[in-house]
Order: sequence, then structure tokens, then C-alpha cells
Amino acid sequence: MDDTSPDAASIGEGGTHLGRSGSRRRPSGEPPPLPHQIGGTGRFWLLMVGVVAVIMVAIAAFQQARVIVSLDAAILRWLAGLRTHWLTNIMLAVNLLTTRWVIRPLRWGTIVVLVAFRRWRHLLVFVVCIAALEAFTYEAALLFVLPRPGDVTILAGWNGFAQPARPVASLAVTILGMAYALVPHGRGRDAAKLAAGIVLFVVCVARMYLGVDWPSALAAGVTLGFAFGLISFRWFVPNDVFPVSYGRGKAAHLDVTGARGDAIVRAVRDQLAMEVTEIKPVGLEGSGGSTPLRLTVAATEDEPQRYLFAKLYAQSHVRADRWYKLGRTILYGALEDETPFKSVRRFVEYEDYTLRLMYDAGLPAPEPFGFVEITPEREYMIVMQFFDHAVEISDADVDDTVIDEGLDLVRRMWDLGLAHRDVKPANLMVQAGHLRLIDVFFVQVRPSPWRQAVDLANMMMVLALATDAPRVYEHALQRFSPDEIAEAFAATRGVASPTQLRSMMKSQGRDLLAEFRALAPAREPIKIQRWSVRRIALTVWVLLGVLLAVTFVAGNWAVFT
Amino acid sequence: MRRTRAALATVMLAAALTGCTTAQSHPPPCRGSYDNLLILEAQAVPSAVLVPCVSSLPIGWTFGGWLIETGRARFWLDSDRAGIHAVEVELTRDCDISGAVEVPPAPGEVGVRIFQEPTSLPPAFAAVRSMVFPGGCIRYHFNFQRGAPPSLVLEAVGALGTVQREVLVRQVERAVGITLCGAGAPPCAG
Repeated sequence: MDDTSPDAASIGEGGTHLGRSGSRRRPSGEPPPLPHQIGGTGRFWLLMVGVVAVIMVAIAAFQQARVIVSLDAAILRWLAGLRTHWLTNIMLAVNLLTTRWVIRPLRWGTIVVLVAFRRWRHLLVFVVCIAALEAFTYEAALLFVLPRPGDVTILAGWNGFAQPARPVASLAVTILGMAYALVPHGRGRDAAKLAAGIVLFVVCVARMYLGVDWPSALAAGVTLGFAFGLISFRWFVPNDVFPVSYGRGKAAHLDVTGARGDAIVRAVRDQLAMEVTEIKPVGLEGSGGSTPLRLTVAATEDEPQRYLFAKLYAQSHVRADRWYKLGRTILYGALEDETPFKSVRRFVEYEDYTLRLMYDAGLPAPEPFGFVEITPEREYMIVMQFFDHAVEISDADVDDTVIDEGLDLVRRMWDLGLAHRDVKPANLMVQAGHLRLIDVFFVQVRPSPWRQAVDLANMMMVLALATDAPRVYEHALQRFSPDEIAEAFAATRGVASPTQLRSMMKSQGRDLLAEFRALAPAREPIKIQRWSVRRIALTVWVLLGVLLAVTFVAGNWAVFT
Repeated sequence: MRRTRAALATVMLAAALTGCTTAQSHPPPCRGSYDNLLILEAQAVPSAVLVPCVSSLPIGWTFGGWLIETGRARFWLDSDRAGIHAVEVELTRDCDISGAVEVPPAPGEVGVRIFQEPTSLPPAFAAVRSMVFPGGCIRYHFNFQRGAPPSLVLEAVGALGTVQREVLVRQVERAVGITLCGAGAPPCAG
């Protein structure tokens, strides 16, 4: 069946690339380019959680759960029949792994490493998930009140009821947490997880051999330990956004090889009718909120081979954006009041909208090509023009043309009622002597006057980085009144400027803010700390959350000491 | 996604809140059928032929909590007059009775030797009563708050008792079909 729409091109004429000739509608029932799958390990642990839940419910419902206990006891009797002096010594040595003298140094060692590398979010998740696991298994043991194994002589020490096996759960969450918090994503972490599985298997065999735990309790302990670790780390510190890395630069990006790479090619072919021949990550060091890509598009009868720029967005980016906006609202208050995006679809739709808005308004932004669906409601990719041979403004020759274009750009945005809100060297490119503006995700329509003023100040400082403040000021006076420039520098200070801009000024040893303020008419600084009910409520809410987390960890601190 | 997060937050919160609570609420009973806490006590000291329990709590006394591990089982009672943790009952394989005075066992305390050792006199009464028997020792640690009458010892002792381990062995065999290894049971594997 051919779903190609040959007449679509005529409908799409007028500047949009959506519905190009050759695009193909996905029929109902056909899987998307990259179907959502929980993966092999996900399925396994889901199954294990189900099994453990059944066992626990059975024990709770029938108290003694004769069938399960009989089965467990049979396994233990068989293992006890294998006991020899030397094998018992080995098993006792293996069982030392479940003691506090091993688990707590492992935990503290991990904490020290995380502090040393200032990986605070991983640290918080590591500490809280361990404390939560310990509290949960403690209560579960009191709920199921299962005594220690019978039929065999217990050869090792124990403490409290048997279901679930708490020492094994503690070891499981600890070593899995270490794998996620310390080992970079990829083969290293896969190997670490495999090693964790092997260690736990050996420990479980040892504890069964020693008769200290029921097999079903060990299964529950391992499952709970892994489940707490996996859920906590995958949910709160997803690798796409908070990668573990010991080298320079960020790696907070989705892997675009393998199945995802194939899905991107298929999605662009079906939805935009273009044949992608190469996918190359670009500008990763400047991007933490998405995975930026350069797509090579094969030549057609009408067009030569060319590049397109694309940004891949996943759910993890939406969550990161939500936290980012929460922090900004608390820091800046009502001036930055905005509603976080609820889904990745809305997220990418908004960027597509701002891109079209800027492009249609004649601003030097990339030409939009629309976005494609990779996995419904989970992953989307926005596609736009790639500025060939463009360089970042900090690496380009900045002449009067570039200065004028930069200032014109801000003037035009003011006139249109827009603010870019992320004016920094990484987002200003120079292509064949002309200024280009990229990354319009933060663009806001009808922003606060404060934000517009900050855009002007940041643009002037970026331009002055490559030239000098008096020259940029003179050019600015041709488009802005002295009062407007004074307002811009009265509104801008510290955190109002992007980190990259501030660090470049610092590395050059230049206080451009002071230089421009000296040139502009004197004006009292504009307060950026605006308080509102929403801001106060959010601040209180966050403080309560932090307090709860601290109280919880403090209440369960014994598991670390 | 919102529901998933809410469920996750609820579980975490529940775990956080329940982490502050303690032990099961009922003491190991001297009478009745199979009780897991009593079985766990017996497993802590497999050699002991007697296991401590609570026959009935007088008015004003409550079960405080327990800690049971290899070689040692403890539980304690709170009193509205004698205070929190007024009596702690401890089962071990051996106990140090040097300095204690042997006293005649009470009616019903068959096959045991009783030793008493006052460690503090009123107004803050404290004493240790040790019950020595084959394979184990049960000690009652009395530690009353200031002003509590020493006569409360009689109430506490009256509330406490012991269960023959072989009775527990039979209960476990009947209930789940396995052997509670140790005194009073046939030899176990390993």
C-alpha cells in the first residue's frame, strides 16, 4: 500500500516544508519509528517485582504460606547436604559482603567520590534511595513477620525477621547505586551492573548455603534493592540529562546510533520526505537541554546534498526544563513567571512555533522544517536550516555590519514584542559576514520589559567582547535612546546574563557592565527580586521538600553510620 | 506520567513516614497457637529449652518493642507508673550471675535456678532477675523511673512467663511442616 500524497507539495507551498512531496502517513496500527520499549532489563525486573508481590501477598494472606515455605525449605535442605568444612568457610567469607563493615564503607566511599566531583544530584538520589529502601524493608519485615529458616542449622548471624532479606537488599541498592552514580553510561556501566548481578547471585547462594535466609526472601531482597536503585536513578537522574562523566565537556545527550539512528532516518524520510545519509552530533558542549545534530540530506533532482540542523528532545529534557524554570522562578520571581511544559510534544511544538515566528518576521533565524515524531509523546526532533560555514561570534571578525545587525535584531524584537532571553556568544553565529541567531527555544512573546532590556544589554556586551564598549555604544545610540540603554544596564546584573557570557568577560578580565554603565546616563539599578504569592508558595514548597528529604535521611542516618 | 510520579512520591513518602515507626504491636504470647515473634526468639538461642513470653499485661503496662538477633532476643515493657522501658526481658545462652543471690523459684518455675541482684535502690529502683536453665538464661532487667514503687516488680513478674521450646517445635511442625532446629527438635541438616 502506498500512502504517498503526491499533491501535498502544492498545499505546503508558502515557506513551510511540512507535507513535502513524498512524505508518507503512518497507517493506524503501524509502530512509530522508535516504539517505546522498557527493554530487556526493565521487563525482567517488572517480572521479578510481580513474582515478589505474589509471594509477599501469599505470605500475608496465609500467614505461614506453607507451600512457599516447603519449597524454600527443600532448597535449603539440599544445599545443607552439600556442606563441608572448607566450603562453609568460603561461604562465610562471601557472606561478609552483607555486613555493615563492607556495605557502609562502600556507601561512604561513594558519597566521598560524589562530593569530590560535586555531583550533588546523584549524591542526593543515592542517599535518599538507600534510606528509603532501608525504611521500606524494615517495615516490610515487620509486616510479613516471617521467622528464619527451619529444617537446617543456621550457620551465620542474622537480625530480625527474614522477609525480605534486608542485608541483601542493602547490598543490592548500594552496588547498583554505585554503578549508576559512579560509572559512565555505556559498556562500563553494563559491566558494572553485570558484576553487581554476579556478586548478588554468589551472596544469595552463600546465604542459602548457610541457612540464614529463605530463597524467596532473598529474591524479594534483591528485587527490592534493584527496583529502588533503578527507579530512583532512571527517574531522578536520567543519563540523558545528568550523565556521569569524568572527562571535559558535557555528554548529556541521547545516543543517535543503533535503533534510534535508524528511527531518525525513517522518521525524516516518512514525515519530511528527505533522505538522511548521516547523523552527526554537533555543538554538544553548548547544549544541555537537547541533543543537537547535523543531518546530511541526500541530493535530489531539485536540490543538491545539504545539511540540516536538528534537535532531539526526550521526556528527560522536559523534566530538566521544569526544574530549571522552578529555579528561575524562585530566583527571579514574577519577572520570569511562566508555566512549565507538560509534555515533550508541547515542548517541541513551542520551539517550532517560535522558530516560525522569528523566521516569518524576517529575523536572521534558521528556516524551520517542522518536527518529526520519533516515539509518540516521548521523543521528537525539530528540524531547521543549518548555517553552513557559520562560526560563533566569539571566533569571528566583528565589524560594523555585525554590530549593526546585532543591535537591529534587538530593536526588531522589541518592536515585535519578543525577547530572546538567551543572548550569548554560543547563540550568535556569523555567516559570510552577517549575524545569525540560533536557539530560539527561550523566545517569549509579550515578555516583561525587564527581559527585553536584558536582551539589549547582553547583546551589547557580546558585541563589545569582540570590539569595545564605546564603539558598540555609539552604534546603539542610532537605534536606542540613551534612557533605553541606561534601563538595559540598570536591569542587567549577575545571573541575568548567561553563564557563558559572564565567564568570557571574566576570562578577558573585562567589566563591560561597568563600562557601559559609565557611558549611559546614570540610573538606579532595577530590582530583579520581585516577590509574588506564587513565588513565595514555590519557595516554601521547595524548602518543605528539602526539609522532608533532610529529615528523612537524618531519621534513617543509622544506615550510613 | 503525572500519575506515575504521584504514585512514586506516595511510596517514597510512605516509606519516609513509616521509617519512623517501630516494631509490631503485640508481645510474644505464652498461650495460643503459632506466633512468629516467639519462633524468632527460639531461633535466636536454639539451645534454650525455655523461651520468654508475656502471659497477660496488667493495666498500665504496654509492650514497648523488641530486638532479636543471633544469640540474643530482647523485648521490653513500658509502664504508666514505672516508666518507659521499665522492664527488659533478655534471652541468651549464658549470663553472668556473679554478685547475684540465688532465691527460691516461684511456683511454676520448674527446672530453673533464680538469681536476683539489686543494682539501685529507691527512689529509682533497678534490679536484675536471672533465670538459668539448660541451654539458656532469661534475665529481667528492671529499671524504674524515680518514685516508682518497687512493688511493681511483682506486677511485671506476674505478667511474664516462659514457653517450653518443644511446644514451639511441635507448633511449627504442625503449621508449616518444617523443623524448628535446636533444643526439643530432631537433628537438623548441616
